[in-house]
Amino acid sequence: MTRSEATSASKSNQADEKQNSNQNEEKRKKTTLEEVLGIGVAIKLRASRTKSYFSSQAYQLYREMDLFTGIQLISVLVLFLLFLILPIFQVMVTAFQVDGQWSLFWFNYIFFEDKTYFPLYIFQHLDSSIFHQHPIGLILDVKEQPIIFDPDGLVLLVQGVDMGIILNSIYVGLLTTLFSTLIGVSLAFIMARYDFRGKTVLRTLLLVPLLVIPFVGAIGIKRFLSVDGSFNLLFHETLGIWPTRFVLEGFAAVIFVQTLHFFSLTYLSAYSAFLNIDPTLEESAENLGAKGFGLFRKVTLPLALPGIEAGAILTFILSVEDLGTLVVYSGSPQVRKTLTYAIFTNIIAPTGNVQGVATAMGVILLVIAMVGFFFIRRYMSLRHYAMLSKGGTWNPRLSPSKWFHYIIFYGFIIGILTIAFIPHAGIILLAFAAPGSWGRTVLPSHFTLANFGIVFIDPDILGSIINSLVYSGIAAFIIILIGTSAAYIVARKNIPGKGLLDLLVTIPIALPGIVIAIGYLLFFSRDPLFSQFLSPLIIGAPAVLITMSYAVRKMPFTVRSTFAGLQQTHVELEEAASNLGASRFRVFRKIVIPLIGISVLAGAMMSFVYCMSEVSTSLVLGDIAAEYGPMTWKMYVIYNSLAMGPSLAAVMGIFLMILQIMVMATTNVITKRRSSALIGL
Amino acid sequence: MVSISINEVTKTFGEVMAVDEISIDIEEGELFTLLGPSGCGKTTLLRVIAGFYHPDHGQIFFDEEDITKLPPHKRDTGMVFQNYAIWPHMKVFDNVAFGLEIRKVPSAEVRKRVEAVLEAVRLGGFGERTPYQLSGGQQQRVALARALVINPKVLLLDEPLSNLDAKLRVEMRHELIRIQKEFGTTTVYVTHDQEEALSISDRVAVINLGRVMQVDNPRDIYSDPHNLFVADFIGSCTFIPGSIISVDGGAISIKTPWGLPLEGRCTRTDVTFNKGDEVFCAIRPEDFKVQTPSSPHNDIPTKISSVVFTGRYNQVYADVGGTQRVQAELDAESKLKRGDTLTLHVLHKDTIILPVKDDLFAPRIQEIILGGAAAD
Ligand SMILES: Nc1ncnc2c1ncn2[C@@H]1O[C@H](COP(=O)(O)OP(=O)(O)OP(=O)(O)O)[C@@H](O)[C@H]1O
Ligand SMILES: [Mg+2]
Repeated sequence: MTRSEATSASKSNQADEKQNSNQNEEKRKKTTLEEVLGIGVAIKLRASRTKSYFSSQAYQLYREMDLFTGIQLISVLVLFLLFLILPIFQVMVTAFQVDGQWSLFWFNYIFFEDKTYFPLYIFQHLDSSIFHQHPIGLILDVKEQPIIFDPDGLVLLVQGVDMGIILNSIYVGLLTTLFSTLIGVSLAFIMARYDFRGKTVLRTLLLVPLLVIPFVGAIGIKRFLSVDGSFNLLFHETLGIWPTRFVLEGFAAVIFVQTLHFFSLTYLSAYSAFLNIDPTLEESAENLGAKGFGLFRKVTLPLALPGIEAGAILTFILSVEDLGTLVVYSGSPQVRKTLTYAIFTNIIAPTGNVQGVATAMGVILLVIAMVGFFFIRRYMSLRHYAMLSKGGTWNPRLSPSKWFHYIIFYGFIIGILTIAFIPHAGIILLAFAAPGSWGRTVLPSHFTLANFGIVFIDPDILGSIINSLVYSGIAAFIIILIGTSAAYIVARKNIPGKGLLDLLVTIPIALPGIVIAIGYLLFFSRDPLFSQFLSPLIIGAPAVLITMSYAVRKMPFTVRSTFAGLQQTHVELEEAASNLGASRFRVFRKIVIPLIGISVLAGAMMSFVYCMSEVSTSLVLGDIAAEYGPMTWKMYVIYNSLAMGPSLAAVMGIFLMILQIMVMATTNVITKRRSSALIGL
Repeated sequence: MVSISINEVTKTFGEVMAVDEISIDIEEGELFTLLGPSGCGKTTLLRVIAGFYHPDHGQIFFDEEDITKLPPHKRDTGMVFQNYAIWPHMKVFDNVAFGLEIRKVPSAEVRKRVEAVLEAVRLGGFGERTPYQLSGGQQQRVALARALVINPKVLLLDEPLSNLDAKLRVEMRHELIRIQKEFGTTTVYVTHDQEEALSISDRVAVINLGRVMQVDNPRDIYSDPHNLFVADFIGSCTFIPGSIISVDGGAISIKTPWGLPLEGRCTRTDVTFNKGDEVFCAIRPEDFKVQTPSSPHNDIPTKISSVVFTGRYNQVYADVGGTQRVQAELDAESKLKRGDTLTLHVLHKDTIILPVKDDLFAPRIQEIILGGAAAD
């Protein structure tokens, strides 16, 4: 339509009122027409509207896209398709196949045939004959008792029960979640609602457990709580306070280690949930006479519950998929009977050969994690996160503390913190212990810096550290490019399917690393085009896979941070630039990046640290070729193979810790972001 | 120089009709104002012209070219945003120079032009400051300078002077008109300040609820309102209800409910009145006279209920017909006091007769009338 046609079409428009009244009449006619025409026509009308809905969505996509946004969107999609969706899809396909034929063989095997995986009879009558036929399962034979007391050696050993691989993983996860949540929520409530001296210091200290990943923490704790560990030597032998030697083994140890790490996570999410409660809600309940525990149970807890749940479920997912703790305690037979560990041992990495049963277990693990994820989907999404980081501007309700509060709070918090520092104390002592100097003594008899020397001189170990730094650095770079693009599209573009994109970039937090790892092995080795990635002969191929797995898995931290930054910058700042003639790319480079640079940087640093300390994909993919193994893989290898392995692994653990402290401190200074950004919730 | 043609543009946000089938033609070099109450859709329409919103339907033309699908950065418009949108990470100079740099203007010339425009908006010497060091009004002037300096095809100004003090605002208005006329830039100016709209515009579109109520030059908007909304929104009016007695060419006779005959004129060519039609008669406060004029006029007997001396005139509220309140600005000399009876005179040409039928604003006028009477 040319302009003159268009104007002649609306020539009557110059006369204002008349046009308005005409319009009104027309509209009135339309509605009455629809009323008169009745149901049949109405349905037809609606059908045609649905059709136009789709074409209008397509048009919407077309209009919102320009070359630059298109490139951004396509790179996000390609990265996630290639390094997340297809590999996981490959795992699922493989799990349902035997010799290229569709089959439920592996699931049938796991659930009904091999009692190692899922001892169905637990739910049936506990027939004594079965007890003897199956030395594993819920059989409380002497070695498999959950608690063993040996009166001769005065040893109390706590290890937990074995219920078969699948249930083991679930109940260990549930117990870890339960303990973490109880501790975390209590701490959060005290911190969010009471005012007392020393609170700032305690609040900082409560973040410290996050500094040590379970893998490293387990190394420290294991040394500390073994039969001849410092705890027993000090409290039983030397001081005699403790009546027996106390040893944590098996699942009990796993739960203990994981709880000491994850309670920080539940604490942070519960803390922000309490802070986000509108104080007037509690005040009005108080006004009506509620107080004390009643107020907490009836008003405060229900209001904070969604946030607490989110933290708890995330803890569950992370606990179930954790591999680091298991490999440290893998000396215990029951610990080897968990999903992640069983998958891990069923991989013959260098050939990319994955046992069918491992893929089926991978699918089960995936299902468990996904069920959890979809319960907390809303909390993981970018939009929700942005909402939270904006809110919370009101004055929190703080009660002053009385003397007995001080006793309870200090007693509880310091007690928790003391236990929570065991892993740190353990690895620090290990790192400084001279070889062979920490036998049957509370503390090592000789301290040395030699371990540090070995770690930073030995070409293999140093090589693995450099590998990790390079992989994580490149991954962080990819994360910045792709993550900012994804965050930008979700924040600014009104394209159909935006919700899916949001899902795609947040879901990796909840995807088990081990499943992604076997996905890579399968996908990139089955496909002739990609199989060369796995061949150790091709220089750098495993490096590519490890780097990409880091990039995909640790992307959410950056995407979130960037998204929050974008939410805080008004879109008009971009529009002003494009109004003055700047192209999309130029607006992005000149306006968007400078404005949100800090948020991107903070997120990328966080992602970098989490890449450095990534365990599950590293252990699997590191096995492909030793010279490309990352640092965590090397820690695992030397921990198990050398006498001084624990000490060297501890040194590397300290290195990770220092890195993380530096990053946390920096991000805290450059952004004034709430600390729960650390946990990805 | 371009002309702008807005053709049946509609933009909705969910259920909200922000712009409802608006058609306007803006001539080359014209300073055209969109005037209307808050939330009536002015910013939305301006953003449609700039390309930040895509209309649900309808088109925008620059000259003969349909630019509805052209992305914003290819439209060559200079926009001043309602919230300024000054980039906080750039100095004032860089903010203003941005558009010139995009246009690859040599840097010596950039410097010259930026300095000149900063001078024009009274910000000479502020180039090295960062936006945080500026007051709201100064930021607004940076935004103005940033749009002016590129000498765009079309200037889109969204309340560009709203944050300035009264004196500076008047100064900047003149400066704006000077620059606008000097370059002959077609300009769309958004404001809700009617005095500003009337004083600077070539033409004004009065908008309400996303629709154009009237497009005219400022004088006609003021003297010949086409409907109740415009009469009420521009300046102020006393509304007296009535019904048609007779129509004789341009002269219309009506009778108020209490039997007072009035004669006036209609500003609309598209309306025909029949005997008995309900109407409102609108009279501006300054059109009431105490002295009997020589031209044909209406006589309105009133009883004064309050007198407020404002310096230039007496603001008088008076009752007519027992229930109706009129507002008049009378000669400051006249000695008036509460309770006096007084006959006010209004020229026939100053008595505007407006139809009630099809005017969505009529119920609101009814309310105003009732409210005025109830206030005693
Ligand atoms: N992005 C948006 N989403 C939803 N509704 C919107 C949006 N922008 C504007 N609106 C609505 O559209 C209507 C017109 O808004 P607009 O900003 O155009 O008003 P305005 O005339 O510029 O008002 P003001 O003088 O207050 O700036 C309002 O009712 C507003 O609430
Ligand atoms: Mg506006």
